[in-house]
Amino acid sequence: MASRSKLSGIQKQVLALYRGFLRTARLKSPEERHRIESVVSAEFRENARNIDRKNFVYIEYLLRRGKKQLEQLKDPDITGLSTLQINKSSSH
Amino acid sequence: MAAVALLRRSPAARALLSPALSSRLVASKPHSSSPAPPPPSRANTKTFSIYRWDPDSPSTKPQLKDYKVDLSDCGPMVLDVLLKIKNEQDPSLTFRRSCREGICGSCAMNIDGDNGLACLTKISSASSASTISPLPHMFVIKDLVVDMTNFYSQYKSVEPWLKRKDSPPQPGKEIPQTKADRAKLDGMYECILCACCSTSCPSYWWNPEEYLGPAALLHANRLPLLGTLIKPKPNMFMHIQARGYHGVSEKRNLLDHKRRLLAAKHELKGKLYKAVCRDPDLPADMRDQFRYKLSKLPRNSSMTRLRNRCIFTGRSRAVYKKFRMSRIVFRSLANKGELLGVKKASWWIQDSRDQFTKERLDSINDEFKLYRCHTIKNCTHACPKGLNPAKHIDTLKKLQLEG
Amino acid sequence: MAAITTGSAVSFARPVKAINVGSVSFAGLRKDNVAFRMQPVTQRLAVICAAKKETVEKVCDIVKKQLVLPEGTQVTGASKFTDLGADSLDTVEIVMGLEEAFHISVEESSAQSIATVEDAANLIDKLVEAEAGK
Repeated sequence: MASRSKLSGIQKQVLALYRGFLRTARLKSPEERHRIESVVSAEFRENARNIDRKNFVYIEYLLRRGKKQLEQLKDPDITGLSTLQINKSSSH
Repeated sequence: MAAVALLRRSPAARALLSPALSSRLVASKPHSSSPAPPPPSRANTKTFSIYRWDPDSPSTKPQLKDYKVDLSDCGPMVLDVLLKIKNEQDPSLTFRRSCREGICGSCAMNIDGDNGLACLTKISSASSASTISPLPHMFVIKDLVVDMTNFYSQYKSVEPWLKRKDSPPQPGKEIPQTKADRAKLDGMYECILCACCSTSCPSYWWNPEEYLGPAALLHANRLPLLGTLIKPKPNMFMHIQARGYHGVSEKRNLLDHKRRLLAAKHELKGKLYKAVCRDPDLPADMRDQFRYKLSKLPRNSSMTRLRNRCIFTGRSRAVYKKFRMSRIVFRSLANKGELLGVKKASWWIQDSRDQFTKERLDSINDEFKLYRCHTIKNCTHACPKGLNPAKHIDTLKKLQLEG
Repeated sequence: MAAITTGSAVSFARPVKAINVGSVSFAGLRKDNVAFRMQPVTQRLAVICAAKKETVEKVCDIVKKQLVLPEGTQVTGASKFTDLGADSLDTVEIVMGLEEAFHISVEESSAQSIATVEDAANLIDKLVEAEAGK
């Protein structure tokens, strides 16, 4: 993890996105809120662990994807968020 | 028919049938666009270099992958090639497609350097490899699929629907429009929002967030002027400074100003010395003396060193005395209507049914939204439907001068 | 020729300045100014306003709960979140938890500057006062 004193621009964007998700989660029903928070937190931590800090192309791709998903989530008609795991076959 | 009859008689008879016939009976060949005469037997392979990037393996960089395709067994359009590759060689190739007839706009991509629809672009007959890449300067989601959110939100921002201030003349019925008025919409309504034009515009590449792009502007023109009222900025200089012009603080302007001050200071002296030098009736040594004095004056006090520069940019050429600005700044300010009394010498009348003309014009009357267009005209060249966005942007600019 | 004249001009200038009383004092002042500027400005640790004790305690409780810290750990005013084992994502969660507990809303920029329990408590106090004042 980066040192506390200086967060780079891209790190700030990631944190802002995370904050946005948590804020939006508040507006949903309590059980859903819990689920959203756990899904989002797991995803962010997983990516933080696996991806190289310097791989800006991929991080920006994830940021864009995240922002789009956040926009969808903000819609009042959307009630929740869930994930599914696809096991990639080794042939590809 | 006869072959079928043979088959029904006995299974053994099937062996007697020729292989060609039997294959036709077993399964029909998948639809190919080649007509009745059988395809030529010699293979005609062409190489296609296709841009590939997989977001799920983040460490790999995007690359151009080569695929060899037998053209004799393939349809004539690029979309057919892509489908063939996906079906036979590499199922992971990802691209958008839908109607396959050039009406949905999904398959927009860059083929051999030109933007176009894959379903409408014929495979070039040149033997060299063809390059297929996604629309330029757009974020890539995977392989040939790009992120169109910005493009769509810009389309949304021009409010592409009819707006009226009062109800239609006959409530409940359509708003009548003359044939001539309807004819004005030809060339605009056919737009399928494929994004080929916007992504071929260099101006759009450099300012994708602020500049609306040819597609959105074409639609803005279609519904002449409807939109939220945005007041023009009050200070003329703020506009210019926002664009990076520093006004009178330009270095060249400052130096020129210094020269003007010096020239003013030494004006009288200089004129005097020069007059004495030039006077043929005076003795030669006196003239020499004054010549020496003249040469001793600072160089920057000479009037010939002064240059009327543009007060905004400091440009030395094409500066009009009347406005004290260069042709570029003059044009930009005049187009915005910030020069009092300056108007372009042509008029235009727009669509009849929409009533929010003025508000729509005002909403794009901005540094960036409309005026990033420098008539590069790549958009017209790229449009797969043959439309002319550049013409409509020009119309918009002309309309701005009336408002 | 010119060089020598300028050189002599300079050499004369100094003694002239020394004789002149006013300029000596100026020269002296200039040196002092330089000396003052040499003093380092290490006032970064200035506490803007002292945080209330209850606020600090409440914050400590919330931090302990969020980070699921074992009972024995010391959480004081000066302890940094990173020292307690929190990464930046955890910090964001803590700030969100604080927002809810105190019914305030924290801005992006202020949220990023929080590093210790003390900072958080200060910010909370400020915002609570601002809310009460409205």
